[in-house]
Order: sequence, then structure tokens, then C-alpha cells
Amino acid sequence: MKQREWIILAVAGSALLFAGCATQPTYPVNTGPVDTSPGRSTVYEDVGSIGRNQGIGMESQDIASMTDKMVGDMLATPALAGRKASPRVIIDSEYFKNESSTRINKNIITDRLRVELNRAANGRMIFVGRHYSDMVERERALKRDAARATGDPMVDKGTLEATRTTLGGDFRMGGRITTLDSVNSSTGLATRMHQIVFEMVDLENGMIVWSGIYDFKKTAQDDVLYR
Amino acid sequence: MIGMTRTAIVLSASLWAAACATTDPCMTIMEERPLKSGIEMNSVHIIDSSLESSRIFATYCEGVRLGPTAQEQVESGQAPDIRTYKITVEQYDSQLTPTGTREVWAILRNHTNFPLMVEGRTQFFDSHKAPTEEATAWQRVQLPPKSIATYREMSKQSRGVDYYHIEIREQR
Repeated sequence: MKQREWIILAVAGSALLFAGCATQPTYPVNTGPVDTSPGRSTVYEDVGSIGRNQGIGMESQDIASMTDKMVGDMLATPALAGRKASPRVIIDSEYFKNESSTRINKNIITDRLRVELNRAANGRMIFVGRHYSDMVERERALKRDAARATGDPMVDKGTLEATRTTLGGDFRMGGRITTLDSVNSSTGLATRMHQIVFEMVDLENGMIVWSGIYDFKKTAQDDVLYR
Repeated sequence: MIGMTRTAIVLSASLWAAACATTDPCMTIMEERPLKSGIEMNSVHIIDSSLESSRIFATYCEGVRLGPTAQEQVESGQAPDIRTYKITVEQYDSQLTPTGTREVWAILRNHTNFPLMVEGRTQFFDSHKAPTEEATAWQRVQLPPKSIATYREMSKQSRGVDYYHIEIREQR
């Protein structure tokens, strides 16, 4: 056969090959009512899940997971949540120290812990806002101290019952964030182990009535900046 | 020329026949098993298909499914499935803590030869099967190869927590 005839033969063969399958029924891969395709892309991410920027430091999922675990644990402790008289608790970052190599605002942990605990405690604990004490004292002074001109207080008493003193705390939270770091100089991989300790201290006798620990270890290229 | 024509006819016929050999109007495929509707209370559910997946057979003729739908099969409990898994739930239960909150736990087994990192979270419900609080945050569970580990969680409410539903996924 000549080259031209071979070409005609090849074209005809290909055409028949496709024509033969033209009537093939289409088989759906998934005919169920559930559409499992991904949703619309967004810049928002779940606080409790690993985000797109991942490093070896403390991240949102660690904070969400840690505070949630501590709240559940504290509420299951009779010395804190099972007392006849609801104890007065102070939770702030005053005695919560960051001795780690991770740059973090400690308040993100203690604030979340206090808020979650306060919402869940439902009266089983009373929270004293010691970090707002100057605000409270200033308002109390305005209500009580006489103004120079009239001799009357600057503001009225408000609707709440006046108390002689503000609340004293029964327990206060302390704790520490520490880390253990190692870097492989040949690969650039960095490993950081975090250990976060929470302790609730009796403000009368110094006894630690509850302790909680949360730890995790991460290894990655240390190329994420925590600011 | 006659020889070429004869060759062309024979070749074309064989090509056409070969092309149409796969046009059987009926085909059996494996479909992903749909989730059962409703929430099964006091249960552990592995939601990640990379950890556990079930598929069921389905036959389609001319694009139309024969027999009950996959959802109908699942609802009736009649769906014979092909199950693949990396982890299984060995035991799970709940108990009340001394302060009245509910503690749930689930023992998971890693069937692979590699360590796995999974996460679990729990939704707690009251006696009317209404959520009593937000679902807990995802908690990590490290599963050594061929070994077991326990996922543990506690509710925050101390009264009226009667049911729970645990979800397990692989950490990404």
C-alpha cells in the first residue's frame, strides 16, 4: 500500500472507533442526593482546626483545645465546682508566666479560659475581675466621695446594693508555659515541645487544689513568624 | 486497490466491534455509602473516609439505578458493604463525674503499621436530644502502630446531660 492509502485507512479506522462508542450510555459516578464537592473558598478558618499557616509555635487549635480541656477538667473537680458555697475565683495572666521560646500574648489563653469557665460554671464558681479592680475602685470612689462644690457625691448610688468592700478571692490561677527546642542544622527542621501548666491555688493557705497540664510537640521547617 | 479495500473493510469492522465491546448497557459500580439520616445518640462516628470508609454495590442500566437507592438500602439496614479501615472503635461509654458533669471515653485501635494522629470531639445532648452546649474543641489522640489509645472528654454542664455523640477525624 502507498503511504496515502495508509493515511486514509488510519483516518477511517479512527472515525469508526469513535463512532462505535458514540452511543455508549453515560454512567453517573455518584447519583446520591449528597453533593460532596468542596465549598466556596474563604479566608476564614476554623479556630479549632489547623490553618494554612503551620509552624512549630502555639496556634489557634492548640489554644482552643487546651482551654476546652482545662475547663471540662476544672468543672469535674469537686474542690472547685462541687463546694456548697460557690468559691470566688480569679483567673488572669498575672501569675501565668511565659518562659517559652514561643512569642504569645498570655491573655489569649487566660481570657478564653475565664470566659469559657464563667459561661459554663453557671453559678458553681464566682469570678472576681481583679484585672478590672482599678475600674471598680474608681467608680466606687465617684459614688462615695463628696464633690468639692456641693458636698454630694459626683454620681448617684446606681441600682445595685452598696457593699462595704469588694470581693476577695478564694482561688487564683497560676501557671507556666515552657518549651524544649531542637534544630537539625543540616535539614533546617526545628522541633519544639510545649508544656503548659495550669494550677489553682488556695489564696488562704497556698494549697494547690487543682492542676492541669497540656503538652504537644511539633516538627517543621521553622519558617513561620508568630507576631 | 481491491486488496486495499478488503483490508480496510476487515480492519474497520474489527475496530468497530472492539470499540463497542464495552457498551454493555448495565454496569455495577461501588458507591460511597451515604450517612444514615438522624443522629445516633451515644455513639462514636469516624467521619474521615481516610480512616474508615464503606462502599456499597450499585447496578446502573442506561444510567438508571436498579433496585432501591443507596440511601434506602442504608436506612433499611440492607446494604451489604465493602468496608476498609485504618482505625476501629474498640469500646466506648460514659459516666458521671463527682460534680455531675458527664465524662465520655472511646478506646481506638490503630490497625496500621504506622503512628496515626487523630482528633475527636463530642456533642452533648439533654433528654430531649437538644444540644446542651457547643461541641467540644478537637482533642488530639496519638495512636501508636497496632496499638490502642483513649479519647476522653467531659461535658461542662452538670445537669441534664444524657446523650453524647463523638466524632473522630484524622488530624491534617
